[in-house]
Amino acid sequence: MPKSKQIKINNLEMAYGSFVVMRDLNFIVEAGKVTVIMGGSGCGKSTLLRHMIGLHEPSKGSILYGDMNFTAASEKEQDEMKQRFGVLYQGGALWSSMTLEENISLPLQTYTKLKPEEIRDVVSLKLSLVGLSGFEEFLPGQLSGGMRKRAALARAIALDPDFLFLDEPSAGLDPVTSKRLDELILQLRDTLGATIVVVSHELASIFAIADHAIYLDAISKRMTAQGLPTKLKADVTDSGVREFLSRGSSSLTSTGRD
Amino acid sequence: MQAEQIKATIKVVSDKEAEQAMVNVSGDWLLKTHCPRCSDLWNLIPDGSSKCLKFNFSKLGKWDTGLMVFLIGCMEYAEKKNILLDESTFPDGVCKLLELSRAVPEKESTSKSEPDGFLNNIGRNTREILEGIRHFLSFTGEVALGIGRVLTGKKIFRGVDFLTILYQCSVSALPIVGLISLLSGLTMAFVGAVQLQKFGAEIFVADLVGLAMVREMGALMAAIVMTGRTGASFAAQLGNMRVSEEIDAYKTMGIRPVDFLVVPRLLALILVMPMLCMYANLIGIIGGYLVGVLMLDMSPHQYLTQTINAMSLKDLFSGEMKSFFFGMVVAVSGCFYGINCGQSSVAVGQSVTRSVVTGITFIIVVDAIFAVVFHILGI
Repeated sequence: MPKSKQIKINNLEMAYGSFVVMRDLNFIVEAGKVTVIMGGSGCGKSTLLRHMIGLHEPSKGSILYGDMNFTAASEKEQDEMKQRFGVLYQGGALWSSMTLEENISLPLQTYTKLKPEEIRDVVSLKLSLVGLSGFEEFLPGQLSGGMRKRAALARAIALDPDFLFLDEPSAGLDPVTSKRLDELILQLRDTLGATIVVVSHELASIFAIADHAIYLDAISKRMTAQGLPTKLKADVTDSGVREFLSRGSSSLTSTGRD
Repeated sequence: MQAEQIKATIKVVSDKEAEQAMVNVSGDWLLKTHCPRCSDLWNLIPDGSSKCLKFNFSKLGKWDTGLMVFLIGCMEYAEKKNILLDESTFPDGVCKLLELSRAVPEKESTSKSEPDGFLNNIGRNTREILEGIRHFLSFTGEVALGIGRVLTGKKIFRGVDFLTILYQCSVSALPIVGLISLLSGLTMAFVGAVQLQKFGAEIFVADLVGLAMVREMGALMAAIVMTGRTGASFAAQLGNMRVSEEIDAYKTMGIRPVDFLVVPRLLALILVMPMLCMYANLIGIIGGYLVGVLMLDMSPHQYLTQTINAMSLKDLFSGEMKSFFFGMVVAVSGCFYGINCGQSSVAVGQSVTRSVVTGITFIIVVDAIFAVVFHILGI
């Protein structure tokens, strides 16, 4: 079992049939760091995430977790690896027929030997971390969109995963909750040493949490920049990245277009 | 290589004079390995012996939620027993996570549960049933108004939608309705033949199959197949539209969902059902014909003449009349449960089940009512 929590993306090409979404992706997600995948809508951020968690097969290239080649691994090995993943989907993807407690308990019941009362304690801790204490008995349908997202995060961190994948975690949240969520992400990185991959286009959140960011460009279908977001904003020469990181203002000043 | 894990343990050193206890926490406290529970700690500290509890984490190895759960449990218990618990020595990460978990106070349980008990249950159920009936009546009222608007020439839905629905519940349904009708025709002829052969009256198999199909089975079979096929699909489709707020989107645009979604489905089924019924009759009779001609050695001409002589226009009319109402039942039950679906995927499943169960039940009820009415009228 690989020990290292580093993720290495090697010459990855993603495609739907003959339609190539992104090509020549090469980057490293450092262990115990928060790496943000950014880019405009529809550039393939979520698709990249889905490739990393094994929901899609790459059309070329490979994904390495530590020294284990995830792409070439057998189904059994992949399943073992997936136990170390925690995933927050864009829409939450909570199981709607189960209460929040049941949603968060399921991975605990499946993969640990905890007693029912211990599981209940873990569930209430996880819910309190995302600001939802006391919502154990609620069904996902009874919650607002933002609450559902937070509950889904509680489910994603139920097993203290080594790798945490978050797809747009702060989209649809109010600024205060969104900031608390950013803090939680940083805490998870610091206390559990989790390697965290976040797909996001919320600038405030990107600047607050990213140790490293990669920018996917929809037009060239390649990764056009990577680095610390604040540094990228100051130094990068690629106009697309600069425009993205400054909410389009650089293009307004340079071209006068809207 | 994974490093060897050290077993998580607690050791308590009590200072009886100062009435305080020091808990030495050591080892790796990981969720997936077995960690001591807070009840284990309290077993080590005799009740009332300590008023203050301190923790020493100097030998703590790796930790995760396992340790958090232990400490939170200890804190809750200490608070209950009025024991002072010193949090100052907690590891930094634990303090920060605790701070986050306390940032939002616990939601007070919204005890919306009404009092239980036999009489209360009867009352609540009666209220729910009455509410359901009221809801259904207002739905049918809206549908009637919608049909009224169509009849007065108002355009309340898109023609192309109507044609699509019409296609889905007519042409696409032909194979399954045909298969079921053919099999019921065959079965009836078989069963009938066995009995009638005893009296040398095989020829009456044609009467039996013909009459049964035209008066009852054609309409009934077509309606039941359509409930399971089209009624269920209406409920699932409208239910999903409700979950994804598409129905709300119609409302906010000033388009009545009943007019736009329900009326075309209802009209399509009312229009199509009598035709499907006719088709089912024909295929059922073909089933009987196959048995008659191939097994009972009747000539084709003989079988057909016998069938035609057995039936009157009245019989045909009674079946057609029923199928018109069956169409209404299938469409209304499918659409009613779909459009009033809850907000989750479970609710969609429930809506589909209810629409099919209600549809089939009401088809049988309507059929029984017609049987009585036709009997009284002598049709």
